[in-house]
Amino acid sequence: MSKKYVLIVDDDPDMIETVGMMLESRGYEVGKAYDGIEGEMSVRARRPDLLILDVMMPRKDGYVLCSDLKKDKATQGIPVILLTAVGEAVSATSFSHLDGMNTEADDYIPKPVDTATLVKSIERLLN
Amino acid sequence: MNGIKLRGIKLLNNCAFLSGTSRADPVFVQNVCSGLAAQEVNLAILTHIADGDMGAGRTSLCMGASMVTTAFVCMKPGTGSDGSLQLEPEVGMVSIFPHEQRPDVMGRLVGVLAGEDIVPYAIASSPSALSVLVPSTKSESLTQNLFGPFEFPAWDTPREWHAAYTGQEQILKEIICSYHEEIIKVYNITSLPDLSFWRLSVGIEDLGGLGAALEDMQDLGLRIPFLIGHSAPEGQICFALCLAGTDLQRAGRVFSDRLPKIDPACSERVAAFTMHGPHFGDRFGIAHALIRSLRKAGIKPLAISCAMSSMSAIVGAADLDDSIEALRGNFDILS
Repeated sequence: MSKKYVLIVDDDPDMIETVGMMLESRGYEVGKAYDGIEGEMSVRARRPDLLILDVMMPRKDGYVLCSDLKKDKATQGIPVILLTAVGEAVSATSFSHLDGMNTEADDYIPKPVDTATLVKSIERLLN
Repeated sequence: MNGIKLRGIKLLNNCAFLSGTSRADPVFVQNVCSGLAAQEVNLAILTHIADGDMGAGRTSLCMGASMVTTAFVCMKPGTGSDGSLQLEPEVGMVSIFPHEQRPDVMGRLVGVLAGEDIVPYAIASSPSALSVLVPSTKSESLTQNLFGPFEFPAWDTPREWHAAYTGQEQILKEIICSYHEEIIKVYNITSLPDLSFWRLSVGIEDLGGLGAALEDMQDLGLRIPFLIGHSAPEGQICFALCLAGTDLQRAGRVFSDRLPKIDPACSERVAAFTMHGPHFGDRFGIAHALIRSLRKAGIKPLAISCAMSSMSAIVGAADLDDSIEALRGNFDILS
């Protein structure tokens, strides 16, 4: 059986490295993109089975990218997990939780990410 | 010369740099970090090289410019009468990634600094990124001059990159301090058990030679999982790096070929560990928690590099298991 392909989009390279390592050790194939535009290009170049998106990124933030992908028939079926900073940090920025809910992401997990929660979410969305 | 393909650059301006040594205070770095934690100072970079046969150890920090006075007050008392202190209030931090432990990425970056005649205040490595602190007047030109020696598929020119990043610093500033767990969460800890630890001090005139040496190491298939550097008195730049223990002789030959006047100090049988994803830069107190944990276990790190989201330390190989055990008792390791 071929490995499920998970694309991680985050502007924090250590975060990508960490989550990527964790997923690879669990048998997933991992793709990496370092900002929203690169993430979108990667999705269109090779459709992932699941997308993990950071919210605050240069060029195109995670909310906008998620929203764009969910509006596009070609990509709206890709499950998206949004990762972001905890509530009090988000509310201090221009990135509100309401914006997050409007993106129609399939799950929304606060950082620091609990590994078990992330894996459970991935497995639920892929099955 | 083809550019080395990387994926990203980050520039953070409006930072400050503070660096100090202490000959009198054996727990200097611990006391400094304790003060910074109490004052809720977030750090963008922390590097530390312990005392050794190349002189007193040094601890270097980068923080938001508005916090430098607070940080200075934390560091000053420990330097004593024979220590030294350097404060630079206007600093830019340039980070490139991912380096994938490739010596040529590190060498090329050092070569760009040499070509621009820039003495870096500090260099730090994380598992994926290399960060360099330079005078803020040089940060823009440094980022521009990275295009050529490096290629970034997302941007063909520095101008494109700059346009994409305009406004991003404000967003980063809005997130003041995000995490307040009682026990700090860390995604995982990885370790490398059999390394050699090299320290060398070079002048600006030898920076190009060091860059070439590192590029030679790439040709030999070597990997560098840890690299830090900081400016020191008399215009010297002190570097500390790790290589696989089995690469000891090959690395020694490269250094003597490229830097014949420099005599690096090498310690065998060291180990490295990295705490991944504790969101180092967003969370005051985390460096203190690391150093306090090790100190309680009686372990003195040879070097520390904290940058991006991660924290790495070099310890004696015999101390590796105890180090990780100490961290497991003080951090919430999620996997």
